[in-house]
Amino acid sequence: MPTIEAPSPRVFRRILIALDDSPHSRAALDMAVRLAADLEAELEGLFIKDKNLLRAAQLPFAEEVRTHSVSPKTLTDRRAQRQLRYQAERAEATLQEATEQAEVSSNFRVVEGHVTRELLSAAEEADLLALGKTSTQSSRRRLGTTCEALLSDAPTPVLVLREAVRRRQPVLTYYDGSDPAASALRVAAELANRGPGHLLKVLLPAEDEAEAERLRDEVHEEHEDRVPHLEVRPLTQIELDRIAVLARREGRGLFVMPAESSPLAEFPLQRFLYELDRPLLVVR
Amino acid sequence: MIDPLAPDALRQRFDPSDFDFETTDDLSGDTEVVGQDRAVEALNFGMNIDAEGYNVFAMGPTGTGRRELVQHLLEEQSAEEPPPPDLCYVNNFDDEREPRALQLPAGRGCELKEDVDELIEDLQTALPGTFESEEYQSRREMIQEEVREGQEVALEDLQERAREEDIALIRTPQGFVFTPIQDGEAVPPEEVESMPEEEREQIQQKIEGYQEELQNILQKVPEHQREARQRIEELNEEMAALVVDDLINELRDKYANLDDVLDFLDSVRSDLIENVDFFVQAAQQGQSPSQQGPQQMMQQQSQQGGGQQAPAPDGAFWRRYRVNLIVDNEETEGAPVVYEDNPNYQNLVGQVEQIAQMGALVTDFNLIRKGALHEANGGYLIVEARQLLTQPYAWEGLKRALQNGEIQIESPGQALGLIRTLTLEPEAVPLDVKIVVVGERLLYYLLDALDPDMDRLFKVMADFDDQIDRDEEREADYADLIATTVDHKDLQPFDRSAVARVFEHSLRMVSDTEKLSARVDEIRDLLVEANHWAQEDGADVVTDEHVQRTIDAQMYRADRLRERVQESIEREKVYIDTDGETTGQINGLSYLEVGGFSFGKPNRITARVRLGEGKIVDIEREAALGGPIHSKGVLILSGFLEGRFAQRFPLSLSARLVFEQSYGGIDGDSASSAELYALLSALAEVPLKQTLAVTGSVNQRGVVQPIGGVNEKIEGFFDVCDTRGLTGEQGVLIPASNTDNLMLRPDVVEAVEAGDFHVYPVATVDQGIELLTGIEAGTRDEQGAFPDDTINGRVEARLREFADRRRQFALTNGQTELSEEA
Repeated sequence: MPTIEAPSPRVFRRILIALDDSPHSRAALDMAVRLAADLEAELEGLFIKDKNLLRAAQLPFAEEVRTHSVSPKTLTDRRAQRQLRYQAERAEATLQEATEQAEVSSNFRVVEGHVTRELLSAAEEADLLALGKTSTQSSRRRLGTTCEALLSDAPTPVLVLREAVRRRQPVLTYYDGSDPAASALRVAAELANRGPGHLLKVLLPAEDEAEAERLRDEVHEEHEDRVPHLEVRPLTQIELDRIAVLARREGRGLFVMPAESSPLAEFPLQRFLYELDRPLLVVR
Repeated sequence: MIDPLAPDALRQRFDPSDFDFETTDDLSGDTEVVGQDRAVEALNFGMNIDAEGYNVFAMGPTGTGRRELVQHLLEEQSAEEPPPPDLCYVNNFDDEREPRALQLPAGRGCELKEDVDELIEDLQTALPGTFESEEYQSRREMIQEEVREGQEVALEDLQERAREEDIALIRTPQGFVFTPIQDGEAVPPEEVESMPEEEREQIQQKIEGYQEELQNILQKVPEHQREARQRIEELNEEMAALVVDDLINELRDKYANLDDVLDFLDSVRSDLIENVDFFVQAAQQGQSPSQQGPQQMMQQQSQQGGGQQAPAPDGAFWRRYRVNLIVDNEETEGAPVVYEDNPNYQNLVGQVEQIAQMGALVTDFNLIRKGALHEANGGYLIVEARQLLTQPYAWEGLKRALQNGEIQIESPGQALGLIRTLTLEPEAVPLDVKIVVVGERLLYYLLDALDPDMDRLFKVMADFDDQIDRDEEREADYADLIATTVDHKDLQPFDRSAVARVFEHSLRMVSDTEKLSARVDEIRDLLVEANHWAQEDGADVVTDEHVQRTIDAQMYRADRLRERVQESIEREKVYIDTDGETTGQINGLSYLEVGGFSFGKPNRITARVRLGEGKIVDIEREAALGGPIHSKGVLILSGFLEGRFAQRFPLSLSARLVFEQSYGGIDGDSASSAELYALLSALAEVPLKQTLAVTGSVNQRGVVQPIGGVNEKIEGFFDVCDTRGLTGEQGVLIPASNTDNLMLRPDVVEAVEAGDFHVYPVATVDQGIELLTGIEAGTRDEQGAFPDDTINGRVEARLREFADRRRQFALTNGQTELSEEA
């Protein structure tokens, strides 16, 4: 039985937010700002100039296909640079506006490089990486490559979401007794405690009753005193198979999942996220 | 010499014992009207004739109970008629500026309103519920997914194929770009440059191919989106229809026989379905529709002004489906009889109210308000002419409604074309109403003369008389009318002596012993006041004493001016002789009316004569203090003198007539006989008895003609004499034809009974002058001459003398007069 450490007063000190001036990035920013405010963390905005794009733009025959243009437009290096610079400025302005309102300290950085790689390396210095799901309309079938890579490879917890959620939603987590699950539970408890909802729901895998009882006791033992409203719910096997759908029905609050836990491992991530359709925080 | 009138002739008495009841309690008390046969028949005719333009103008003096009578008759008539339909206004979904009128059988309007309110309430929960339901959400998402997926699959397929050829699809801030890749990374430009030209061109061609494909995919996006929108719209309508039809069909069954209502329900249904997006949005945003309605709805429909909370959370939107019940005849029994006591334009034809919203005035069909015409439609409407005519445009509005046979609600400014703000033009409602306008005769005659529409719109006139012919039946009715008032006003019963006294007063009011007064208002006042005095006395029954006291008190309250006049005579500020004899001087009688109170007063009239050109000068006229009728009376005097005396010689007299101490102007010819007597006295040089006073006009033949106010005049002189002490010589000469107008005060009659005062009915000037001088008037003998010792003889002699002297004067060129004086 893993020991559960007492949650540190500040689970996340530095929150990294990937900005790209898209609606979901904006949603991720809002969520990150709220978390930062609740947890008194610092926010770091990162805008990455896609190296691949810049390279492509330097090709003499580079042409841009647009949704609402009849014929492709020539894409020059200068044009691409200008577009990216403009986006970066917008992203910075958005960040400033959001953090100023919430009185969260922040800084902003622009780097040039491979998007996934830059994010992974930047994530090493952060406690939490927040990003909007980059895939625009294809959220059902395919997750963006960046997102997929980060969720599986990032050394830090990762928060992904499609749209901003309203406040006062219960925090949801999944506890199977593993170490990552314990961390996830700790993080979830801290978030529930500091957030406005004050409600933590813990889902337990319960292959047999004794196991469920044991897990329930562990959760209660550790967190009963710290979380104002604690709710524990064992899941049957069938429910466990549909955990994402189940979680969605619970509301639109944050779902804190331990990485490499069985549900995440068993389902394609893409499908899991689609069915869940609420912010997901993967804790390692 | 003629005899004075017997006391019986001076006052018509009612013997209480002639009545077959003790007090008014013995009477049925259900008489609303006595007499007025003409008016009643006209009203009945007007009410019953079923043709256009047969509206009634009920005219007559105020206080004759016109309005009460009209209302009473109409109510009697209307009780047997069916109640008219209810009237509602509902939204016209095709053009909200022109709300539709809906007529339903009496009582069903209210029902419909309640049903529709309920329908709205049901829809308010059911519709958003439908669009929040999982079923709807998933079906909607499915459509979106299907469309989206088709596109994504194409895009992914393209991306996959490109990757196999080492070409990547990269997102740019504004679109997509293809670039060659190597090991998952874009090939740096330098490497591309260094490629052999052949290879480079190959890549370029490939990229161009993919670009074209991508372009095709992207171009289909709007089309797909449109398709998705359309399919979602269809879904929305399908879902809405499911809910709406269920509820509306229930109502359709209920109102199956009313085509208009079915039409309305149909339009509600289609409008709901047309506006279904509104609920969809609301459901998706978790808002109530009020916060975000279609623009045009907010403009007209919203009732949330000035930040006030609407009754329903989304009332603004749902208002458009409501039923505005204008006329509710559910409780009405028989046809309505409406009396509009403030007939201004809006109160007659109705109005569209407006509310201030964000500084602008907005309105909708829910703010349509009924007018008296709506309320009375199918029945009867009573209005007062004076009020109707003093309200701007009310008369015009009423006429227009009658002419067009429909009620069109417009503001007066709008009707005149002055105001053109955004407002409504509610559908006109067919008008089927009988109007009774109640007014004074003057107004009717003025309208009839000046308004050409009058003949067409008010074809029936009901003329109310202010007098009632007396006969036994009428008297019985009149007594019952008193009983009715006693009953209605909850007064103490009147005993028969009191009723008799009221009858007598009624005669005096019209100054005619053959008529009763139809001014029932005044009679009612008299009854109420008599009741008051009876209560003061603690009496259970009102008696003649109380009635007399009321009359005295009424008199006393109005009496100040008369008292001052009497006092000034008594104190000899105004000279009136009541004894002795004087030549060329006589007591005339004048009649004054101030604020409904009238009284008589004696006036000294004097005449002076001299040789002249045959002219009688009316000093009142010269001083512009006399009216035209008075002047006419004086001119008639010359006619009389010339006709009787100066047939064979010129009338060579100059006479001056004056009302002494008259400062306020005078009119009427009732003093012309007095003036003639004064003139005759001056000419004959015979004194007139100052114990007598005279009234009556005279014609060129010397016949004395009737005058008005005879009672007041007699009493005026009587009061003067009475104050000074009656001598038994005093009296008044009245025209004989005024005898049946006599209804003198009891104290005057008593004095006559005692022989202290006399009233002489005079038919001719000769009779009068004989009474005034005690000398025979004289008639022409066979030779055509008046006897010398008669008045006429003396007058003729004097006139002849004037004529002779005038001829003399003319012949000597004025020397005669000079020499005589010298």
